[in-house]
Amino acid sequence: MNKNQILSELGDIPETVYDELVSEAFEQSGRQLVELRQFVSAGQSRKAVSVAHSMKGCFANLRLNEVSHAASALEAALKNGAQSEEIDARVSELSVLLRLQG
Amino acid sequence: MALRRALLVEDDFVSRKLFAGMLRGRFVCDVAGDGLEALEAYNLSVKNGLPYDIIIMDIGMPRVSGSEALMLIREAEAREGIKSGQGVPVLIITAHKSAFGESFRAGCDAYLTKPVSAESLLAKTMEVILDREGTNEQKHPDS
Repeated sequence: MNKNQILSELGDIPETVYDELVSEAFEQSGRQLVELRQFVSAGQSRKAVSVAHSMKGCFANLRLNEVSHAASALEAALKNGAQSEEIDARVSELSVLLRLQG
Repeated sequence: MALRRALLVEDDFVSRKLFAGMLRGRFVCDVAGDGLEALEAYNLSVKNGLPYDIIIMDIGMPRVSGSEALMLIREAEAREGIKSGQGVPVLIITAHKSAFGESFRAGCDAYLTKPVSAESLLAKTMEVILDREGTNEQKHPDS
């Protein structure tokens, strides 16, 4: 989906508004990732799932599907009680995408 | 034509702005960041005699979830003698596909899955509102 299609799907919002929302999403996700890591370290998986879920929804709404899918994979790993190595790998994957695209 | 009133309940700040933008021009939109704020806004709207035409709500939210808030709204309506299916219409927007059963048990009228397009949000919102208005006109033809 190209940017024009995205803007159209979102109700023909101006490109500047979309760019601003994307920028806010990345800024917010930096804080969320820190929070998520803290929840994982403290064994508070339910709260960590909630943060990953929120990131998934936010990026899906903005049609940034690669980031949304990475957040979704992390959410699934947390929900399924995956080993810490897998969770670390999913967090790293999401973190890299956020750095690359943000 | 007077704009309709909507309460938009979404904990994610960016999504909230996005959805509010989609509704702009058709609705006067109040926003709430979780179920507790939604309940406060709902109670205030009732107290002020300015009921919402629709509540558009996420499910997974901190403090009070969307389904918990919805159940409390339906309980408040029942105490006021408002029958099931005649209260404020509620449209659920969620990325939790598994939450639909829970949402309908709590009393929602319709749902959409994220990601949501402006077209589908406006179409579903109007469908739910018109459906409720039609139902209430049939029940109260003189009102």
